[in-house]
Amino acid sequence: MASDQQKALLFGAAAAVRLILFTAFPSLPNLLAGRVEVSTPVTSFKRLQEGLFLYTHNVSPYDGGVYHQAPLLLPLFSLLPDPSYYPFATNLLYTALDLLAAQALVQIAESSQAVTPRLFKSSRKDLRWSSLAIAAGFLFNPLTVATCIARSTSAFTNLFILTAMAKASQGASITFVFALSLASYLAMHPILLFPPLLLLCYDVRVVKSKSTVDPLAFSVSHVLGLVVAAGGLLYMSALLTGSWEYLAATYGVRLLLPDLTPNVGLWWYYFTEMFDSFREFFLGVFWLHVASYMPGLTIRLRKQPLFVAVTLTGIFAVFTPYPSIADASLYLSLVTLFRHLFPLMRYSFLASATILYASFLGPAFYYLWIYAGSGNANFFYAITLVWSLGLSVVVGDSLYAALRDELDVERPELRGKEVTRI
Amino acid sequence: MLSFRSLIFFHALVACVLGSSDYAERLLLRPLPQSALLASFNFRSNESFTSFEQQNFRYFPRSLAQILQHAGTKELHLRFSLGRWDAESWGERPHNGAREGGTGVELWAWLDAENEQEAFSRWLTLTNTLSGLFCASLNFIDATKTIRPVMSFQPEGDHPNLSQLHLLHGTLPHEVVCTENLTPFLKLLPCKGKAGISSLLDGHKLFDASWQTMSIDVRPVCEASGECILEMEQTVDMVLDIDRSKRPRDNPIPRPLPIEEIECDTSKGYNAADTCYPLHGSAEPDFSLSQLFGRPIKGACPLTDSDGENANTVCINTPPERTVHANTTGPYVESRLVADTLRCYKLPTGADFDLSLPSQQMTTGLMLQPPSLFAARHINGHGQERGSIQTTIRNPTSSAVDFIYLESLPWFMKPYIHTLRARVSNSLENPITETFYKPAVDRHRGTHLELRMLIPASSTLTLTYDFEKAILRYTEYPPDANRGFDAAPAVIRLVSPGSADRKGVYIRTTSLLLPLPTPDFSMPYNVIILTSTVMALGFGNIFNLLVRRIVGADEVPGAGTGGIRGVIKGKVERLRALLGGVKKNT
Amino acid sequence: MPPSRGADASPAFSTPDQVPKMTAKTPPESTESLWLRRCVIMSFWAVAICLGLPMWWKTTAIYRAELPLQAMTDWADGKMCKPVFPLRIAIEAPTLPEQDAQHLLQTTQHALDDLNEFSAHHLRLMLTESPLTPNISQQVVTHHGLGTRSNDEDIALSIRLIPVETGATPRSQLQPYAPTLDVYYTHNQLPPPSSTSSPLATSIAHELDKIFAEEQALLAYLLSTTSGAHAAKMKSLSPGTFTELERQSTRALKYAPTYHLTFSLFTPTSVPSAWEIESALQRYLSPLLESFSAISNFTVDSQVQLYAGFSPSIRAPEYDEAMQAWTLRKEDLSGFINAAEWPLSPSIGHGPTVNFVLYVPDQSQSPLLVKENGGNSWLVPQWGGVLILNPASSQTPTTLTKDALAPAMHSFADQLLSLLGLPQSPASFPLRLSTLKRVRAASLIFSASSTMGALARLTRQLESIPVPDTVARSVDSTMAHLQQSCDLLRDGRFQGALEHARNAESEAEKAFFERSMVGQVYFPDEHKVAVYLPLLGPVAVPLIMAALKELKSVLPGRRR
Repeated sequence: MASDQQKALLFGAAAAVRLILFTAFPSLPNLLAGRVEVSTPVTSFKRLQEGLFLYTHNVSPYDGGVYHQAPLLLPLFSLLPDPSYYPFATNLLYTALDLLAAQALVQIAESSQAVTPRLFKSSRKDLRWSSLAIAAGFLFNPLTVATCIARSTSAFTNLFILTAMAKASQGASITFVFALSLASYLAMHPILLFPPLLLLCYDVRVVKSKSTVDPLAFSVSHVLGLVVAAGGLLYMSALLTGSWEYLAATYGVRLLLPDLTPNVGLWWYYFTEMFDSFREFFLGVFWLHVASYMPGLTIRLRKQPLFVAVTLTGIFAVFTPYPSIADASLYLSLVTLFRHLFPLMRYSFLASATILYASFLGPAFYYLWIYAGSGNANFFYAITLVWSLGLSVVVGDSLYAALRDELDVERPELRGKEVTRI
Repeated sequence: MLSFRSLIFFHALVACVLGSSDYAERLLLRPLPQSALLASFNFRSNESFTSFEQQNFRYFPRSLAQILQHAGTKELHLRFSLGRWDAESWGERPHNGAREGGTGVELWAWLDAENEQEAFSRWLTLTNTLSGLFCASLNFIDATKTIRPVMSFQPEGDHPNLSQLHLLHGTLPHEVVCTENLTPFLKLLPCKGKAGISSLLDGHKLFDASWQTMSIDVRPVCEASGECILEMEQTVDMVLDIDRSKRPRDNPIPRPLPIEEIECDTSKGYNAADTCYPLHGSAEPDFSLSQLFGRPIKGACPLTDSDGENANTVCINTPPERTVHANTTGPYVESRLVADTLRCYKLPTGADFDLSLPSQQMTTGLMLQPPSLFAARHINGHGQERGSIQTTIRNPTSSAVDFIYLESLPWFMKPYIHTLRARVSNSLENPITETFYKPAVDRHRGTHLELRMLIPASSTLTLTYDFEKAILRYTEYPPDANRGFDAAPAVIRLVSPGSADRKGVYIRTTSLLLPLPTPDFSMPYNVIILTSTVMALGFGNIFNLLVRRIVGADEVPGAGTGGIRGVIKGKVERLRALLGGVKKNT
Repeated sequence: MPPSRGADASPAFSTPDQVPKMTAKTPPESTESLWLRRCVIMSFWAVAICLGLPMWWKTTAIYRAELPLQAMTDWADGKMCKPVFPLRIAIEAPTLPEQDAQHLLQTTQHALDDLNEFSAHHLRLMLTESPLTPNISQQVVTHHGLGTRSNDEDIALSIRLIPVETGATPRSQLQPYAPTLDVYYTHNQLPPPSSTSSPLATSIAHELDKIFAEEQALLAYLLSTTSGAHAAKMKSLSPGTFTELERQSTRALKYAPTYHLTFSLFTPTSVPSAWEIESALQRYLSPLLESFSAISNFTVDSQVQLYAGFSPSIRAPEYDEAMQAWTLRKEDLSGFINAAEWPLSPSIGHGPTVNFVLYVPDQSQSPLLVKENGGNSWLVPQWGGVLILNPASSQTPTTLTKDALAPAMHSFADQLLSLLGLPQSPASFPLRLSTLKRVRAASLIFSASSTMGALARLTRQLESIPVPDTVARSVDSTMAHLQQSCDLLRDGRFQGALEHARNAESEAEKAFFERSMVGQVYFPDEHKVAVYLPLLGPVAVPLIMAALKELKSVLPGRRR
């Protein structure tokens, strides 16, 4: 009961903060929407408006170099009043998105899959934050707030990823598959989350239904479900835009990176400077690099599928072509689910310091390069390197902690002892 | 009033230069305020269709004709322009702007082709061959600089099969027009600058002008009887600063006059023998053709008619009281037209001809026809990330003006059309009546925007839209990347009030300089190494965590009590392994 | 629980010495975790191999279409085609009885073969019925049986035997405008059936040999100048003829299926500003171009240029009292063309441009002649011809009439003939044309073959250039055309041979000058290493190390 009040209070407060920011600083949304750290070419709200304008004026939004986002967003936003004149509806929508995402996060936390999955009981299972605290960590994370205020469409992606995780950790197959297919439809790379989440869902189902669940039938049915859902979405989009050309303009752009607008990721400057004859090869290498983690992690951490999924979101936040702080915010707020691992982390100070350093210096150096002209591109590039380094340290460190945690369960005698890797 | 009539006559004159005979040329001089002088050269040569088809060329240059035939070009318009026409003080543009181009090079043509692909391939042929002919880098007009205007241009010639003609338009705002473009231009003339008014054209003076534009227009003209001729019109319009042009070439540095030669404003309190507030005297400056152009006219080009309207090859448009001396040894004829405001001269053949106007105190000032629109375009905002275009169009006349506004932007300048706003100063309704928009595609197509707008009488229209600047691959930047990129001028065509003839009325804004964000061009290998290192660190870290086994520190022999030493030993271990691996690898 | 699981999985149990540098103190690793680790490593390797390698292959491979390199080289070396020129020569002997004619033919053939020492080029006599024969049945035979149509064009020369009673016999006469040789003889000159030679036969043979002497010389020259493979068949050329032929060939233009003729009227003053060029061309040039249509096509254009004096770089003409004329020095003629000012840009489109310049001098410098020979026209090798037209009247007319242009047109026609490489002899124009046809066919075959060879060498040497399919296609069609052309030559069908050789040449050019083959940036290997290594090196090292370690631990396990 009390928790419900707290929850209502928390959500109310979060919504209030957002709406106040929206209304009190009317120029803030556009300012943030213009920041390269917040909105990338594939998530920018301004580009969405442009696509919307072309869509409503019967010009194909994909016959141009500006709009690279999913077609189904167009009818959704064409229902809302024009945000440049009546922004309130849009603001409300984005606030709702965040609240729903937080709700999903709460569900994940409550289904204590983070600490006690089916095959593994962490020895520190009591050390955990309350679901409300985790939700608060998400809702009041400045990165999340900035994403929301900038109305970047990655808010949708984050919502669907979180929903997929939540439903998977509740064993609700259909919603899980549908949410994940939506996320993949919007951002393509979340498809890599499917195997770990499938395992998670399976574990939960096994625990719930006392009878045995045939793993083969289970996975086949879910894969089919995913294919059907994603295919349906793509087909609807084709019907909507009247042709399949949107594929090249959305997923093609993510794959081939024709738009080199700076972002916090590693790709843009690399491919600005790369020699043309090696471009395709390294695009392939970078994508393989992103994809190559999934099987290894899933196999090694079979016992903690949720942790695998979370680590993957962290990897996305660093190594995908158009990352933004939205991805980072998603990962950081998911990491809080694993409070019990924090004592085992070794470089937490280093990592947090690096991330803070980057998030403060990034805008400054970008200003020096673009506006003041007193710095050049290398300034911002260096900061993106630091940022990526910091995040990857967090990822690696949490992974180490998770393994150490498993070790403690395997061999309790080593607990608290110095360990080494051979 | 007089000069107003004379202006009307002046247009009629230009029109009738495009009259019957096979070759005609005319130079019209018009003094402008602030000691400026408009010199407008006009050459026109005809070739009958039959001899054009048979490739027997008399007045029509063979080189150009073969290019046209090879590229299936039915009508051609080529412009080389430099500087800015100061409409505020110089009034209406010569030829209503119909023979003027945007800064740099502008080319548009109607090509005969079955489909769009064929039209475009022919267009490429045309640009490549023309670039060879005119020593201009026209061959850089590729798909990203080419548009297909829908409203802004109308064919001037008579085309039987207009349906299968394709209009293509390309601009090179970055191109610097220079002497090497003038020389081939002169070679196309029958008299080659050896005789006739073309003998005045000299690169040093022409490109020293405050504003100049060269144009070549080829169009078919068909009589009612059905027999057609191919007409080529070449014009050179320039505004010379008289004082500047009069400077001798050997010491071009301007020096102040001795004080006694300056006329001073004696009403000023501080006026004394050694202090002087110079009066901008109303006296018209003195000049002569040989002073301005460095040489006199070398007689008439014998191909022009010896009598009739076209025999008057040099005309000067001044108030009647202005004294004009014609210095020549040969026989010439002066005829005064339109109440003496226009004096035309029939040149002697084979003898030099020079006009000189002494400095003179005028009672009647120059009256200039005000243009029907003023247009200016700017970039707002700062920084290399984004900005916004603002175009201000002012209608001084007392009648509403219906016009078409054409923008052709490079692909790396990404306009947000949803931010397009057009406001009229004294009315609330949207002035945009028609819109054509073709968005840019990265590296394949430029933006093409055409707006039809109606601006009410004596009001100002402001057009704004935001745009974003793309960052290019470092191989795509020109050598002078930090200078910025040029955006082509906007073209404005007046629909009503239009012009009597088919040439139309055009206004062009100036081109814009667009600074783009630039990467560090010295970095490729550094970037490859640094980024790769970060990724490799991430990968190696995670991979090692996944594939290595964790055991107690004290269980590893040699690690001793572990602690920091153990960690270091581990690191050293890994490092050695790494080095060994690298040795293996390379 | 790990110990228990470790216990029952003893066969694959990993004893301490599996993992190097591990003492008994280190607790055994459970099978599960061991296989887990191996799966992880395998999964990474699977990604690298199953996805990485194909991707690498696809993105860095250079497409090289398959080319018949060996065949191309063989063509270039002349191994594939030994050009031979069997000429059919028809003998019309309407008045002779069949066997006499046959006998005469054989004897003449013998005489010819004795004379000819150029194996590649031999004349084959054959007997045809003259269309004049009264016998209807034979007419039918000639027209249908022998397929006269095809024969007519392949017969190089037809000899008409005409019996006469008076005049010196045997005498022969070549028709100027038909490929016909009239031989007048008296009956007693026919070879008696017994003898193997007769004055008539020998005289015909000598006549024929004379007629085709220059052609043989030309072909021999051609063979000698191309690759050595043909030198075997080469006929020995006297140095005199050799240099003469060399001069001719250097003067003549390279063969092209289309020539652009440009007639330009230049004058330093403003007159004449017009000329009746259409009618003049119609009158004087069209017939000539018509007759050449079997060999090449021509486009004709003309222009008038005023105020276009000749090049100022040469010495100004000086007045020669003796000649009563202004004279130019011979050594200056080469610099006469004012390349800077005269708009003589080559015409657009394939094929070379031949320029014919008609220069009307200034009134004050007229008449203008060449000092040494008093001539007023000369030929610029491989470029065109120049003629100075000195107006007859004292006052230069504004318009040059057709008649005034006549001499100019005639000399232009001659210059065109020598520029096209038409041989000087024999007197009969059609014969010279057909000679040119054969020579051109041969030279085209040689040039196309050598182009093939060059392409083959290029693709062999530069491994990094791509070879698109279009090139392969052109190469194949070139080969096909070359082969056909060669076969047709052997059959003596020279028109067809020329056409095929022409196609072969154009296809070869297309293949050789394929745009997408050039402009390929060349990356040295150390550059590639510098690009690949920073990322792939550090990523590959742990992968390889881990794989090796696991393999080490697996192998002894198998052995035990």
